[in-house]
Amino acid sequence: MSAATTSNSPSKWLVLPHYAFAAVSFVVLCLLLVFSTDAFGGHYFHPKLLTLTHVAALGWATMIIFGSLYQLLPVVLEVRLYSEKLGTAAFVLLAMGTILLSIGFWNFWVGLELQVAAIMLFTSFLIFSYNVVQTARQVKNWGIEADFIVTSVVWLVATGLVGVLMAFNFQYPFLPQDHVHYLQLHAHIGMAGWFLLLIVGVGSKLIPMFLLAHPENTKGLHGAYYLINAGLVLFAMDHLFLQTGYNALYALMVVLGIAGFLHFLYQAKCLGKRPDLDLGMKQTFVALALLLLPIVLVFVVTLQFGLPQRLLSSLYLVYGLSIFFGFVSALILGQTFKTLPFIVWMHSYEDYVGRFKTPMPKDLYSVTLLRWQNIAYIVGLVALLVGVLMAEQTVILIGAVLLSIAAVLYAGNVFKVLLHKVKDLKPFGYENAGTGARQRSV
Amino acid sequence: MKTQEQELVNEAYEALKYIIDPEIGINIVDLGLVYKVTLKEEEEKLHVDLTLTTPGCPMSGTITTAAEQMLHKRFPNLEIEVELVWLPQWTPEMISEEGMRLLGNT
Repeated sequence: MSAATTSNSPSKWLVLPHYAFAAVSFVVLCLLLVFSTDAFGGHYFHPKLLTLTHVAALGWATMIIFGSLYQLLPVVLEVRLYSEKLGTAAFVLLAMGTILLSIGFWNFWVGLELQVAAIMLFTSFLIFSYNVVQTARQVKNWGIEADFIVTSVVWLVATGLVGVLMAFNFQYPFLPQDHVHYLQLHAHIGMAGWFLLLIVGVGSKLIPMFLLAHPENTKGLHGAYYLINAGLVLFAMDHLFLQTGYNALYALMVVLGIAGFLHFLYQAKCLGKRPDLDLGMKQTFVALALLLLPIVLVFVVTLQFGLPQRLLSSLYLVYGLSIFFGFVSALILGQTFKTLPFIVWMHSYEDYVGRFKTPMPKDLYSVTLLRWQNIAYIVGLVALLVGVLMAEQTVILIGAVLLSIAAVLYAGNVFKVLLHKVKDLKPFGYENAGTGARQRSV
Repeated sequence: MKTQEQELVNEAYEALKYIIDPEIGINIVDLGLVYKVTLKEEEEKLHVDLTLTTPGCPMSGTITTAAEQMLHKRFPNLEIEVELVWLPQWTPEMISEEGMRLLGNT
């Protein structure tokens, strides 16, 4: 038998601030939505919608992905994180850049503020990517998960670069096409290149792990990797240089890639030894089901089917919302309570296990709050999407209020975990443990 | 194995059942993470081979320490040695019948 190494976990002071910032961002995002119901009546190139999109993509999703990845990279890649200091630098730049960019977009200040914010964010992406690549270079058993993760950060840098060029193009126009043209590229390489590839890479390791499954057939994942990347590269090249109009074909490649990933997860679900799913995993499967909506809509907005322009504009908005407020948000809302309590528990109780009776990670958050959060979220999301599709401001407002309730419940639960304190631990003793204690705590 | 030695090893397994995997919620023995418990009588040492569900698991230090603490409390006169091993690789098939029941499989 070969001896194993000790834990590769990074400091909690690197990981946890990301969760705190992301939770606050989600509340801010939903509150901004309440005050943006008038922005959904036209084109997506609107200051309020640009603000919402960037708060969602950067302050909420990217922020929590950065933080959780510092914790999960050692789990997925089985190596220590290359540098915690670089992680902190990336966090500070991402936080400051997101705040400045959001204020800039909301007020439509497209000069120096936007440029400085864009450079901060791009620098943050570069630092983060360097850290991930250097971490991945230590990997001994290179797997398809590592391919997904490393490639996703390449797309993150590409997304940031297009963003910087657009930020400067506002004041000093130099790009040959209009802004919307590059915005489509920026959005799609960000969504499918950064978010999707990363989620597939990390999810393909974590979801089977949570389900207690070891699916050995990774053909679906390999197929997913090549199809999604090929679709994205062809889309980017075509969009920049050719404009042949084959976008539906590239979308089909990405969708087939997603199908490969889902097939892999289906295998894991069938092989899994945990039939009783907790709320976090149930919400994860809700997120995967919500993927169906953007998958259908990408073909509708690409092929258009002769639909009236007004309806198409609404469908574009629903398409974007179904990704950020749908799939990505649902996944984070679920996975937060699979990862965060565990991280806090580990740092709080690692010195006490075996000597004292300790709570379990699931005891660190409120299941009731989580249940109501999930209900408010799903009803709010449906109301928001229906309201945008029907261009009904009242329905949009109802959706925004319900999502705000979900966000406040989420943030409350996140801070309950973050502020958890160890107290009143009773020493462990066999004489007072009893048989029931075995399934409660050490 | 002598009867007395076997009894002590069995007691060690029973003691290790008090350690619960915090993510999965069942004990590490029924989860199949304890590969071997050996009593080295001449050294007065209890040796445990332990694994984790995945090599990158952040719980490695915590579970190892818990096992040491738990066994030390149960056998204060023995030296306790817990070794984390990766071979053979853990698979869900190593979960005991009791473990499967605790996970909700009927």
